Amino acid sequence: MRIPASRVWALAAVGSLALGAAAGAAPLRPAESLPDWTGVWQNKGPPTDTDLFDGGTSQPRGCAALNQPCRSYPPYKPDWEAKYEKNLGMARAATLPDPLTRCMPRGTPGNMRSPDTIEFVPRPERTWIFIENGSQARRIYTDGRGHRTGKDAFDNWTGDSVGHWEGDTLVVETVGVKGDMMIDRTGAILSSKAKVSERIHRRDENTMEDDFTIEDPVALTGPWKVTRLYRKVQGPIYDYACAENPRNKIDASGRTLTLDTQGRVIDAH
Amino acid sequence: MRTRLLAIAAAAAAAALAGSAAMAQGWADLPDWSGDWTVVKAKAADPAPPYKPEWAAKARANAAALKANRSADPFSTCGLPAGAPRMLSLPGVHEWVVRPGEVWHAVEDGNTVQRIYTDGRKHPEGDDLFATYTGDNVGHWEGRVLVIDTVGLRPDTWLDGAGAPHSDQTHVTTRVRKVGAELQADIEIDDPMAFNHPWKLVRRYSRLPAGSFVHDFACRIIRSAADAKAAE
Repeated sequence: MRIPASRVWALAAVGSLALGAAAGAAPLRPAESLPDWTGVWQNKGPPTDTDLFDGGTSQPRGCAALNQPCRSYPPYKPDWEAKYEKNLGMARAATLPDPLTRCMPRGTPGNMRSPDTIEFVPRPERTWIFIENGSQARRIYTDGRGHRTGKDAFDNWTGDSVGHWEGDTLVVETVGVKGDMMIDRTGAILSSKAKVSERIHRRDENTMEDDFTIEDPVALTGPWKVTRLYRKVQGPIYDYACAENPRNKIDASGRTLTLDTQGRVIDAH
Repeated sequence: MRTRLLAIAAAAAAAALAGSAAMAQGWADLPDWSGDWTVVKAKAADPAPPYKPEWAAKARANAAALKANRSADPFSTCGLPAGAPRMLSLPGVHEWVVRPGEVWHAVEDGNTVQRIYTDGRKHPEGDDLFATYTGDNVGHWEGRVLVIDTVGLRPDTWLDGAGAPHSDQTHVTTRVRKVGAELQADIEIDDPMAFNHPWKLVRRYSRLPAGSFVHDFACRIIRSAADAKAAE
């Protein structure tokens, strides 16, 4: 019998495992046994968010990611290295068309490098990661389902994330993320074939840890391992809209014009 | 070995229970609102908002401008979030993420997340209470009924797609409960500036089939395409 990964956490509870298998439904982890991830968290790292998604593996450690000689990751194949070099050039010249700056979602895994706050919200059937900046919501299904298939399997911003618990570590696998999205402000990119594996756990009272293994048969020569840490902060979580910054054209009097979905001005005087 | 593991598991569960018992409620006291929910089309139309005359005029002006294509619903153009309480009426998927101490009402459309604190805290006061789209939400459980008290709402959102305005004094009380297989939200919108008396609305939600998921899309895509065209 193949034991779905979602049941690994429950190996101690032999009785429920057998029952769940017989019923053909994945037993959910009891809510009372979920780890305590309550509170508000924030990425550890430079507040300017200008370094590589994987700041920790730059060589030497801590060197500025935009400083070419010290960069050794991501492990790009030559053609993707060339694409990334082009983006790095723009980032150095402060002309990178970072989607986040234009109020577009960052997508996984770049959303885990977002500025502002993050919440990790586990329930038995799903874990949500609510990201203030955007705002964005990641949903990690832990009810034993597999990745989507057929017409449901379309690429999107946060991807298709399924997970299971190994003790108090949430093991996540994400596929189906849109390709060629910049995942940080150096312009690092992945293809739509990327698979992002994460092991999320609370390292200590004040620290959440997310260990990433990013595999991309199109863009990368091998796995790219990244660890990101989140420190506990005091709230509040702000509720704002990136798009409230007026970006529409203004008329001669400085009034912001309203556009319809085809980009036509609909309230010109 | 097995006995030891079970003992550890039992101790951990007991500790977790003890931890949550310190809050207003533990997991065992909470209802099962898991899954994906979508608004059920109401049989009857909503009652008209009970506007005072000057606010009725504002509402008529909004509706007329909308009809004449002289303005747009700030939400439908991907400009501003729907905010509370309109988010309760949005199409698409609604999730009620229920945990001891906090409930998140997450809506697919617009990636709107309303955080409802049920840990006993009060609304902030003074400068700490500033207006936002989803407002400041504190809640408590009356049995299996979640009672949400919402203040601190931005006055530039609409209460509906027809252009119903509201002031920054809006105070919303929402009671969410299971009625049969459905979730029901009884919404009472009080606005001493705009209304003669509270506007009462009911929204019902049905559970989507097991295995449903929330689509992740960005309204901003459309807006960006529009921006691109506008720039031509």
